[in-house]
Amino acid sequence: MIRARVPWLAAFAALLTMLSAGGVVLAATTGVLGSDLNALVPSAPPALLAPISEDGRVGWTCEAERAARARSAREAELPGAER
Amino acid sequence: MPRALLVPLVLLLGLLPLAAQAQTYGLPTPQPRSTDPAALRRVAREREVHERFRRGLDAEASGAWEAAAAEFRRVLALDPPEPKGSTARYDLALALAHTGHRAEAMDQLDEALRRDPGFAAAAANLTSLALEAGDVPRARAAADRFARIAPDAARARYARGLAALRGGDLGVARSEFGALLGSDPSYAVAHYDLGLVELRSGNVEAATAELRRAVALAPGYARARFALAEALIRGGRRDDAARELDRTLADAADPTLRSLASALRAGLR
Repeated sequence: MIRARVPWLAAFAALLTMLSAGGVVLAATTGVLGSDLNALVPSAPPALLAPISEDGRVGWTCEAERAARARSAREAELPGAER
Repeated sequence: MPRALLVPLVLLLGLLPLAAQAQTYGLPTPQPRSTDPAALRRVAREREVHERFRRGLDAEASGAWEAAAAEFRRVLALDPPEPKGSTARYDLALALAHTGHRAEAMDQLDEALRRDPGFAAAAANLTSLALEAGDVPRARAAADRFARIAPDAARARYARGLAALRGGDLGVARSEFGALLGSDPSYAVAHYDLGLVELRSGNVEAATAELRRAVALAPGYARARFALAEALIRGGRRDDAARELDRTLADAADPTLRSLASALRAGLR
């Protein structure tokens, strides 16, 4: 009875081994073909704008308010391309 | 030189020092013209506000943030009228942010905006601080308020897009980065972020196109090149991805990015 079961157990163990090896290969392949998208982080927040004199934000001479309202990325002092 | 010309010339030169003596300098605040104690106190307070502002801004310019914070706190204790009240809070928030007191800095900017609801620079800095803190709900609320103040501003669109992307709202992120690129198509960073939006939405071809634009505009943009390699792998173009990863490894300054690129490149061999 025991002898009869041994080939079955061996075959079952071999099958499990093959399946787990296949799983490892599949996982590795998935890792290459689709790495975690969370690794791709969005760009950085904009740096803080400059101090403002006691005259306040009103007027085109207020550098910070002008940058806050600018329509181009450069004038708005947005982050540059990171290396 | 004829003697007739010499005399007027000497007279003219003699008058020059008098002209210099006549030059006057304005006072920061009006001279007191009253003996009324309340009026004198008001003028003294105005003078102190002016002087504290000057010293606070000088301290910020030299990076002495603690000293700057003390000056602006004193300005606020004197309770100046607008626009000085909201401006002092804005400047205090800058000093607080640089000394690690980000939460209090955001509270000061909130109060500045309550006093002056059209203060775009305060809304911009509040959004940046909330993004730096990783507080996505507050960043989104601040960015929405900023966009209401300055709807066409590049900073408002960028901040609103970034907060939406971090919060997983891909529709708003796509709309904001798209609008930013509509007014400034040469901004490589917005192409990168839009590429991430498309990649997370599963639009591999659109992502690849945006990321290609990002690296075409800024060839040394290693982070965008890495994302492009990722998009190419997902699109089944492994050879192209390998080339982009080699270039990423050559350009990247960030060790984490280099490590990620190296692992991905090894998997393609």
